[in-house]
Amino acid sequence: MLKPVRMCKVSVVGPKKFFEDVSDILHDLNLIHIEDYPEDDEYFRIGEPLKGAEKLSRYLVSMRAILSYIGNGEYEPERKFKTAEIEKISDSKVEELERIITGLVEKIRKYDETIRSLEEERENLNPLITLGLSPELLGGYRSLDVIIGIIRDDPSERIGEITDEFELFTEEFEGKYVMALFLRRGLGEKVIPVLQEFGFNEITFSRDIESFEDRISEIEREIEDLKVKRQETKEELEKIERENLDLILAMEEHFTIELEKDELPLRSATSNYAFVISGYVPEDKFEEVKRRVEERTDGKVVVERIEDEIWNPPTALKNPGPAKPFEMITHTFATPKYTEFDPTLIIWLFFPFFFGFMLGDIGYGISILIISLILKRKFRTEGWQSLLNVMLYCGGSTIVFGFIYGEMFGFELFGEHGLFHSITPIAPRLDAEIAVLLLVISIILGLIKVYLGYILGFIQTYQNHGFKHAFLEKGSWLILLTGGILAILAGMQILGVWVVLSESLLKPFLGTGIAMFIAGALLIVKGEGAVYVMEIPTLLSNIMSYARLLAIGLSSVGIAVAFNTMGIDLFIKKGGFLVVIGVIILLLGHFINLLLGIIDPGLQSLRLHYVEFFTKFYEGGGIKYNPFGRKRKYTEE
Amino acid sequence: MAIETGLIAVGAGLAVGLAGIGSGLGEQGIGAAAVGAMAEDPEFFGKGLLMTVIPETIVIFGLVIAFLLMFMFMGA
Repeated sequence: MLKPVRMCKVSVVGPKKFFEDVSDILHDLNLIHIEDYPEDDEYFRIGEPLKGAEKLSRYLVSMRAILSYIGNGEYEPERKFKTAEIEKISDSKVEELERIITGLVEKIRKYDETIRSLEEERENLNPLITLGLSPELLGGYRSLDVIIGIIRDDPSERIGEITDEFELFTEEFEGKYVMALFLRRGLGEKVIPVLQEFGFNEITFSRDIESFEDRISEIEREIEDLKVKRQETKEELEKIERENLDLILAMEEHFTIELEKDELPLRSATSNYAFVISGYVPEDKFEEVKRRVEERTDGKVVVERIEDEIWNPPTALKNPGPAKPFEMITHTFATPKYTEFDPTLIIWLFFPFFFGFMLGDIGYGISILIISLILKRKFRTEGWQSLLNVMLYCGGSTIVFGFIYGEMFGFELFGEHGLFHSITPIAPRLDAEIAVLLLVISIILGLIKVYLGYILGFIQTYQNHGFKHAFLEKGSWLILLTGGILAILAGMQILGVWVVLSESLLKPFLGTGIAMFIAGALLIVKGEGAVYVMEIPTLLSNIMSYARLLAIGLSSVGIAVAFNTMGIDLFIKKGGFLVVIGVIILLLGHFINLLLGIIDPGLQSLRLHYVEFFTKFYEGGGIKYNPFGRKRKYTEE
Repeated sequence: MAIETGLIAVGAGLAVGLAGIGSGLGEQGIGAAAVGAMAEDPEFFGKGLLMTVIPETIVIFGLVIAFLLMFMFMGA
């Protein structure tokens, strides 16, 4: 409980000729977290990949290239391929698929290119039609240069400074001018720099064209034609992809697995005749690994538990099924170190509770449940599933708190103003007195969480570094915190803010409180250093921070009530056409509030864990347990 | 409604509102930097969120003050 899976370090040692078998069986077991061999020894070297690796990596590149054209997203295979079958067909199939698919992709690319160049030509011809001169007039003279193009302004004055032997035709075209300039042969080169001052852009066209209009309709026909062909090719490609997707994915998976097996030597130490693989195995699985490897190799390969000075075990979280989705929240912050507590269980208890405490509305709770269930069918990756499971918990807790507060979509469900007059809600939070009570409860929850954090920190430091460290680093804070609470209780009574203690307890509380506070502060200085005195006010802000549990909730109800008032009092009650507007306002308003209601309590609840809770005991920075092996999705043995 | 009550309500509003502006100003720089860091290394998300929301406590203080004003001095 609360601790990651216990690991033990193992070495797998044997003669090299069994390497392939060992690699095979270890991959199947999917249990050993391999520690890469750093090659710091003169005798042992990093091994060479097994012989199939080169071909496999080539195939794998082809398959991944094909998959990148297809861009398949998430896909549930219709059939799984046997590995033996893949082995048999892979040599021919890989080449065939690659040839066909890259061929088709190339074809589509060519069509696109031609279409683009035709479109460009069409763009060029449009201004020439505006100009109104036929193609044969625009060139082919022996004694004349012809310059055709688009220009910003009339350049005749500036051209006149160079020569007066010219003729200029211009027409307005899309805010600029299209021009054709006829000059004596040889003058063109001199004039062009002048034209460039006017933003000249030359237009060229093929000399074979007889009529611009005809050519344009010809281009348009060709483009239509090409688009049809492109669509056909694309459909063909999609058909081939659909037919072969199962196989492509299966082959990709198979090659990945085989390549991993073949490249295992790169992670292990080898001499001329022997190999050593070292890694970590969950303690309770050690016997199974040992038995399976030794069985397969007739005891020629030995698996042993080793005590090594290099001890960096990976972290595998171990939580009961219902709490599993919440591991995501832990990992998002950081993977716990092997020696640390795994806070997942505590998050499981508090996260949905906080979420519900904040949102607390039957209507929104049901909406969250429904949305999560719908999305759960759509998004099947592990990450999404965990997230949506967390959302299910949150939705449930929101409904429970909805009944406690007696709210549904911001309406009061129970009580005087509500639908069911006879039922009194447990805690209608819109009532000022109840709100204050909930504020106090929020702060008390904060206190509990902060205490819990320090207690976990204390136990953890005690286990890893002994009592003295635990007492100075975490115990000191506990003492200071307790002292602070006693003193504040007494202080509030003296100021007359809140009377809870009997008169006789007042002075002892104040005295002990102040004494413990000072003692705690001194221990902190000794344990963590004088700088940490500055951290003491943080403690107060950490606890106060839990006030958001009430605040976020009230703001959410506030928004809901605002939309309800707007929709009903201003529109629906007036009747007639206004009813429609009122309903739209209600729907839109509650949709927005629901979105806010998912995001905000989610983030705030997350933050209360990350910031106010984790900082008390949790550092993270562990290595995630990543065993050698892979779950098969598209293939089976 | 007495004028004092109104002034207290205004004060409570200011306590939350100004504290909110302060938190926002504090968070903008941290948030931008955190998003930048996350672009480099997505694993930074947890720590980035932690850093970003640190100034948010200020607005909670504002809120607590507002509550004290509203419920203790207004006589609820």
